[in-house]
Amino acid sequence: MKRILAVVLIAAAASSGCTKVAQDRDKVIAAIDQTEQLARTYMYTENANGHKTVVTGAIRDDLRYRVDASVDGQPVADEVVYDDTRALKISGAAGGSILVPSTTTPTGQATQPVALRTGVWLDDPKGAASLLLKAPSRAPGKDPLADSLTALEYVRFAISQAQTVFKFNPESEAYRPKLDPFPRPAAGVIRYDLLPPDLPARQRVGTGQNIGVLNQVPGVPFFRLMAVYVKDGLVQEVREQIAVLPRLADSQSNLEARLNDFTRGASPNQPLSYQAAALLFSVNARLSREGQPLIRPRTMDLQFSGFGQAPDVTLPAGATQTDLASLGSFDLQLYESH
Amino acid sequence: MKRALRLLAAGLLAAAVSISVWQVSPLAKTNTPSAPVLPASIQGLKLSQENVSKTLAEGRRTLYSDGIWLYSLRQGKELMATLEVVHFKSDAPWKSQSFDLSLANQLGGSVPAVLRLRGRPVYVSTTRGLELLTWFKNGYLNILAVRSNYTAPKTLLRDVIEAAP
Repeated sequence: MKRILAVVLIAAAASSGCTKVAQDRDKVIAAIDQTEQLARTYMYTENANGHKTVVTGAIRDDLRYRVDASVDGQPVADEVVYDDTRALKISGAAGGSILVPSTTTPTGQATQPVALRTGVWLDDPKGAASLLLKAPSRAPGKDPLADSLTALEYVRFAISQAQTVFKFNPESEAYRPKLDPFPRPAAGVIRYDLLPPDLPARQRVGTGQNIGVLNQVPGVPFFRLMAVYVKDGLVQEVREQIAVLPRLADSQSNLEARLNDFTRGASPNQPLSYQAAALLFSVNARLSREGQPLIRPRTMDLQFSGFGQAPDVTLPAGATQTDLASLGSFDLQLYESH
Repeated sequence: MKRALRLLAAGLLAAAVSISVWQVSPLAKTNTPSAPVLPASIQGLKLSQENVSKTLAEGRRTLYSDGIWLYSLRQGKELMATLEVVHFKSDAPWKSQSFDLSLANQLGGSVPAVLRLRGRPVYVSTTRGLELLTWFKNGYLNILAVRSNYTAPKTLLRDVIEAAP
């Protein structure tokens, strides 16, 4: 009888834990949904490849917004979308690689692609007329404007890839300090953490013909740590760190124990930083062969403010009319080391 | 002219689908409301109410709605868009997001994407050269069908949302 009772209690506890996790995930998704409904301003900061990219944005709604990007303190790109009209200003060398594709004139003649003019506002009354939505950026780093505009969609995607989403609780037995590079929440703010998936232990993977799904190379979700800060049902901030070292140092991840499954360039006797660099190189080579997004170490901080206060979004005066419709969402090369 | 008719047919088809789903038991009857008053033109397009009574008479199940109107938006003689306005019966659950999404899912040939305009979701789907823009407001379902080659659909959408009931 006692055994039956224990089984029932364990089952109840387990199901309650699953429900709790599902509730936490649903709460974050609901906060994202709610945040997207409101006018807002934001600051998106990314540190990657030794460069700091900052994008500030003012969103009235999905059809009217302004975003301004800078890299290492230098302005690189500004964009205003006002219903069907798109205005764009690219500054510095970054714009040199962007070509406005050829178009067909009313007389049927195709124009030559031309380099985008830089340092001045260009606008196109039909440049944003497409009702096709901007595809969410799932491999950030190519176009910081798009990355910042679709950042909440990116968070949704990250949630779908995480092992679980749970409310931050440093007192919990499940809390893993080595996987927590983020600040504690301020009073009144609830922090939700995305737990990355772990690798199966070596003995579960097997050898020879048994190697299969369990032996998949760890991708971006494995190296991603993310925290979502929610207040009054709205997303206040999102922090992300994609890095190899914390997962190597985290014994529960099984990464260090399985180092040789993924790289021949390092051994467990070498410093962790050396192992991390070798692992990143080898894993990215394999991900590239498999057509999967590469691991791009970075930290990202997305902060929202001004909820419900419609920011001033106006088209720049004195812009030069240019056909930008065919430009679409471009890959903006901001620095050579990208 | 064929294209114009096809556009109208698509708009009507959308309405027929949207109002004939799910509910098996009839909802409470309400008096038929009068046609919404819309401006004579929107964004330079002449707006006229179309007579769709014949088509509606063929419908068998109008479970959630008690009034349907179709408007054409023309540039000269060329039909650029249609606006279909459906009034919900008083106890139709149009404020429920899942209800709205279920209706929007049945319009067009693609899974709808969601645009947010002034805090209001607008469902975007496409079908045969048309963009279908659907939103719910004040007990009405509005479906704006715009030709895909129309050059200012977002400005039109914003103005129509303002003008529609």
